Amino acid sequence: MRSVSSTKSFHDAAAEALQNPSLRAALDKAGAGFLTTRSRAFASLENARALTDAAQQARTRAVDGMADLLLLFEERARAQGVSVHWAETAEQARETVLALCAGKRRIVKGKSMASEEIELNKALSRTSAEVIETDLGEYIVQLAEEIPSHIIAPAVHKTRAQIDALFRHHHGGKGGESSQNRVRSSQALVEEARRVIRQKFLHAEIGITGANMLIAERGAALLLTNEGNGDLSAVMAQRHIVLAGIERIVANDRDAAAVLRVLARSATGQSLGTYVSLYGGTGDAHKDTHVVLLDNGRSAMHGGAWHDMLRCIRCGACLNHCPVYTKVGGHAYGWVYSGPMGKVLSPLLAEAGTDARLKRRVAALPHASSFCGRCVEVCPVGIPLTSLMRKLRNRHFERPESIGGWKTKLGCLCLRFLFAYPRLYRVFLALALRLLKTAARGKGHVAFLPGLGGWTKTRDFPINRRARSALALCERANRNASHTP
Amino acid sequence: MTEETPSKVAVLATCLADALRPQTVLATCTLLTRANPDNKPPALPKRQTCCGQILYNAGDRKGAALQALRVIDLFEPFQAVVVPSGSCAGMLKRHYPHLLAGTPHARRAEACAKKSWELTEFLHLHLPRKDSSRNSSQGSSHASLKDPPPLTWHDSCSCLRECNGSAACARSLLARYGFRLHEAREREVCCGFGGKFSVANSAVSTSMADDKLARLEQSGAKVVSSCDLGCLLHLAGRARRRTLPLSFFHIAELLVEQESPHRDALPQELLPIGA
Repeated sequence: MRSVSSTKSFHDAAAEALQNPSLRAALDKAGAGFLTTRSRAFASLENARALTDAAQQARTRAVDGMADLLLLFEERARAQGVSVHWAETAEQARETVLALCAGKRRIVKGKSMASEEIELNKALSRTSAEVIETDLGEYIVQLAEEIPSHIIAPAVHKTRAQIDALFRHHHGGKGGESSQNRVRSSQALVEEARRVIRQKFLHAEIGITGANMLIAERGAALLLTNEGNGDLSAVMAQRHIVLAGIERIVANDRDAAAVLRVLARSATGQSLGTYVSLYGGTGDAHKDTHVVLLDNGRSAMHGGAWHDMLRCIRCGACLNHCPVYTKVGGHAYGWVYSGPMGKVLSPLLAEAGTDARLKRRVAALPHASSFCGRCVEVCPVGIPLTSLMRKLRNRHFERPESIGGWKTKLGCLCLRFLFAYPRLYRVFLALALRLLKTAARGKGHVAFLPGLGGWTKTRDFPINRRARSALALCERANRNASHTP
Repeated sequence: MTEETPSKVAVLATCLADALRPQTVLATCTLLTRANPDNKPPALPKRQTCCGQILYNAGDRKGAALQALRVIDLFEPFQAVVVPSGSCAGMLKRHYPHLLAGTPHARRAEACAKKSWELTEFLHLHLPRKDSSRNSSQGSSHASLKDPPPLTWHDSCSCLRECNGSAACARSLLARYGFRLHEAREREVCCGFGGKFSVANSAVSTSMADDKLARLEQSGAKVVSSCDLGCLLHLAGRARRRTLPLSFFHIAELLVEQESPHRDALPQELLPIGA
């Protein structure tokens, strides 16, 4: 993958992203739109709180009863002739899908983050099959040989000019009705993509989609799309494969509806996606449907400290409202999940896998937050994202795995010691304030501070001109007052 | 006033203000003295250091819990703990009960949370509205002799999300003191401080500061104030590096500065943060 280096840390990738003017332009443009539409969608409701409460309850029921509900889903799905496959690891999931695709050459895919998670396209491309992503954003990202930078808007990091250039390159450059130099309109680009992708639908042998929910009582998968590509992927080919994480389960239609009411509102500000599709048994002898249930670390999160994260409905609201995400975009996070939810999910899922480099790359993500808390505020299912990040930090503290981790631990232990002996703390502080004042040479700030290079690289460090702490000043004032009755 | 003003009030100075901006702490004490029915200054317990937030956010939960217990012990004799910082107040109000839940100290943590106040929340309730000790020409307002400069306000994330109500309290106090507020856009967006985040993720933090500074500048005001010294140090440091014509003060300093009779509490002329 071009866009995600195999070793670069968030810190370095983010710094690089900040230097990329077209990325900044794309993010700024998309970012504002998401916020306006979402706030409008919720503001127009009389009982927004009741809706999010209901969604949270539905997801809580789903996640708490995950094991039983999954078995019920399997039973009901099988009763309709749907084949259900369990995959404990990414590798097993890939093997299952590859086996189902054996001998087939033409595969169309609807958007599926689970398939990105297990790098399904890479595995399929090693066979003789041709896989085409049919969601426009995913298609763009696929042509660019990148990974999605946003869970619901995969190509949000691309400008129209970049997409135009990409299409000209891959579609043989014949799409333009006007001069080669002018960037075509969004509509023209969409039409061209539609022409290309429609041909793929017509000849597809296998359709692969994800699922927003797996409805246990119904034994059916639910998918929300805006482009209708999910339905075409599911219906046109003879075989439909649904790939979904096990935590996509919900108990019944009512709970699915409760989630649906907040999903599109949170994601794009629509009251509902354009297409809401249910895939169960078809009753058609020439058509078979398979559901691949992906664990890949999810069941390990169940019941423990990370349980709440399983509630996530992948709406992307936390990304859109995150001041860090909106500055650097998704690729800096080093994997397919980004933003606040990615900071929690990526390290946890990576641990379950076997990719040591991925594990190292995403380990520090929970530290890349200012804890502003806006993600928690907008999460429609009440996931305490900042608390979860803090818990992950706590785990690093208990078992440091990097030099940075050891440095943090050492720093904390020193502070603990100073805090335990306030007199020593005062002596230390007095000394430090003197030194700072000397270094400032009559000014109110220093431009460089050893140990705080990360700060002083871009900011002056304000100092205390009096070189005495507030407590020291007050004590002196009290002493003076008692001497002059 | 909806509540009786507590008579035994103590100040948690916060490590940042104590060390880097004593003016904030002195001004806080001055205001709390005024808020006291007997004009009694608040206590400033000598053994205080830090609320433990730095440990908590670094992942040192045990160290933070130890520190929380020390703070709870230290402030046990007082009826109210007033904190001139939203994030430290949030630590006491929101996170101490969380940290000590399920331990024998859980109830004490709850009690501490209940009596902890972010400064402007406390002042809003307890600072007398009518100043009878002075014959102010402007009726019930505190508006002083000076014409206050146009001001813009930075809502810290902790004030917005952990001390709900603080944003309104601060604005109402500023209005009472005659400040004209020039509101900036997108006030709910973080300035990028975040403690260790500002050092460890310098580039992103700085970029967030630049966005925030641009919006503060667009407000038209040249003076920026806030309840949180962390944000102010970060923004002032960045503005200074870029030589932007903005000056930064903690709200306590501005309110005291407006009170001419109490100016002796700040013996030196009040310089902006970092100047």
